[in-house]
Amino acid sequence: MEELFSGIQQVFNLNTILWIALGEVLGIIIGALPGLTATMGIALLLPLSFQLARVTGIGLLLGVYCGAVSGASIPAILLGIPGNPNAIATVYDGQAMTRKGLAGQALGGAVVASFIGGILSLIALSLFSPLIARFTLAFGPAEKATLALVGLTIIASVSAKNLAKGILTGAFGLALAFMGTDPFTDTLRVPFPELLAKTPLVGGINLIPALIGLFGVSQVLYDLERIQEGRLAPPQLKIEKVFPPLRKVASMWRIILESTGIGTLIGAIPGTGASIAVFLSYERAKRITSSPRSKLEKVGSGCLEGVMAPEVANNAVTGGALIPVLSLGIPGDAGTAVLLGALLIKGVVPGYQLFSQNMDLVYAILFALLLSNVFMLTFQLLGVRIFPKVLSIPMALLLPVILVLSMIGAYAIKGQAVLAATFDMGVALVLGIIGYYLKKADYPTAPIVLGLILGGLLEVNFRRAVKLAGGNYLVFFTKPIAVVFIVLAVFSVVLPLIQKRRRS
Amino acid sequence: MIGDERGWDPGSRALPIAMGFLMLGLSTHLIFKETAKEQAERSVPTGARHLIVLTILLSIFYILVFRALGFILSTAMLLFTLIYFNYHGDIRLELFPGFAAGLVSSTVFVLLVYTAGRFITRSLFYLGRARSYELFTSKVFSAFVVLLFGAVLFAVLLVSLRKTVNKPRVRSVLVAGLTAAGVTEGLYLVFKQIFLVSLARGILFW
Repeated sequence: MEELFSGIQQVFNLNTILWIALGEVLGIIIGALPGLTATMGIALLLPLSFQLARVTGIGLLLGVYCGAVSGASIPAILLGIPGNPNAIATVYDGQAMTRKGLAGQALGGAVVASFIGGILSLIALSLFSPLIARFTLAFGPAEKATLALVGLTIIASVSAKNLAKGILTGAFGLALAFMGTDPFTDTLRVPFPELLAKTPLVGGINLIPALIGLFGVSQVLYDLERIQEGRLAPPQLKIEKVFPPLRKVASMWRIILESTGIGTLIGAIPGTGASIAVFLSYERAKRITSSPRSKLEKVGSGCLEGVMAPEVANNAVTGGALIPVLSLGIPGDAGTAVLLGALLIKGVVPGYQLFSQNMDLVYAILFALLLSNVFMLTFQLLGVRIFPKVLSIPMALLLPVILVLSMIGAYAIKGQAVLAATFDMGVALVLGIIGYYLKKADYPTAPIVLGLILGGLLEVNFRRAVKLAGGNYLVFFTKPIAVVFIVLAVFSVVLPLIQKRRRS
Repeated sequence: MIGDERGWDPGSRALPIAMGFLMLGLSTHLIFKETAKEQAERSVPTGARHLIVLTILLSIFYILVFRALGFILSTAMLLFTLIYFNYHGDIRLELFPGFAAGLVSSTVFVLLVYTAGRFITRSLFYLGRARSYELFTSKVFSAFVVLLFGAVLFAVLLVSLRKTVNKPRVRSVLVAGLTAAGVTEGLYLVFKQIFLVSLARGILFW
């Protein structure tokens, strides 16, 4: 009980509340701007969160995460362009409702759906995370190493259309994580040691500049290609009757519950992400509404059901994706991968220890997520006529600002050591350029982040397991849990290959 | 460490080398698999290509001069240049006279805003100490006052330049200059004044 009150106290103070509110507003704006993603928003605000108290900083990032996920529905409904891939399925019925003159109801419905999905998945998060975390008590080095491997292979196979590209970028992320000094022997481990041994690279690649580069700088370069397309013009619409009728929402209980289940479950599977969840829930809602007994409007005809189903799933992913983050230290998608990086930097070590020794922090994170969802509902409903205006901000203006914000963000982490901080700007730029070319060639960047985050865990536990087994590399096949993880890893690589062969 | 004396540690090079071979193998596979269609899809329009190259080159230059020139000057100049050319969608020779004039005037404007901000912050601090007004010595309060001053200044400028802004030739210069000044001062207030990040001063000694 003491921990619960401590958690409440850490979140419900003016400072933290204001930062969460700010994160929420910034998140909605970022989500509403097509091309800018929740991941980029979190990466850009990481340096700022670094300057704040632990829970305040985490709250700010959770606010950005929730805000950006729900904000993406604004351009999807008004313009037919999703703010990010999470809102792809919202386009169909959202745009149709706008054309019918029901933009206000579509926007309001999307917000209410996002809130319901967010809150229900938060309940799932608070119920399942401790149970899964308890499971990690049985993990030794072999299990931890294979768990890191399974996280990497799943995200590599799911995030790319081409499996080889996913694995290649995952391996690249691991290679970056291994740079610096050996964790056991302190041996120098950098390429071109004559040249780089005297640079801050000896300490390894700093995670935050890497994230800022991969998601901030690369996005700026990528969006520059579309700068000549000019600014988006939000349609001049009369937005009214924003709040959806409660009776109508209540009649959709089955769609809401199923979409929440789909979103939470898909979110909890590492590497899957919201874009799969929204399509599954949309298809499911289509099936429910096309049943002859159903009294609901048919999904696809431009109705609230078609907007709410993907939006519930979309935000249910936020809570679901945090389940493996808090319990296993394996992120559900690129956004939570960055959040995991932030948690690790803030000294939060996911797993059983977090739930047994830092329960106040767990409560604080849950309350921060709850508050983020409440702010999301409040701000989006109050600002339903204001937020669409951000669509008219020209990219010509926005992109240089994001670039500078990325640079200064990378610098601020080691802000007191000017040389090391300037070097971090270089890291962000180099990884930004690499990230840009990878995006151009359709290579996913999420596995790089996961490789960077899990590289240390994988290497330390792999070597420790082999040492403890007296040099026996087959030790990984003697532990049942490790075998399960290896089978999962192999399955995640082989399954896409089988599917591809079947299709061809 | 356990087992080291028997050589049971796979060694610090084991996993990096394994990753190296994995990447080499996969890259070779992907190079041979890539089709001409995939290569064609990667082409970038000329204007955008110029802007991307400009952004990368200026970012490198920014990092190199950041410590020598200082945060305020280097950031404002980078922002102005990028916004100005992005606004026109390409880098063309006829844009350079406007760019040069805009860069100089925008830099002067940024310096004026920065100087005014420093003056306000210091005055508040001295006043706070002399009269024992604790609030005036707070870094957040002084940042807020400077922010308020900046907002009023920008509002006055926008209202007074309303008619000029509508002329397309000067619009890009004004938009780029005002945005560069506003963002630079805003970042300075947040990172330097509130969070005490040691942003390089460079040649600005005040």
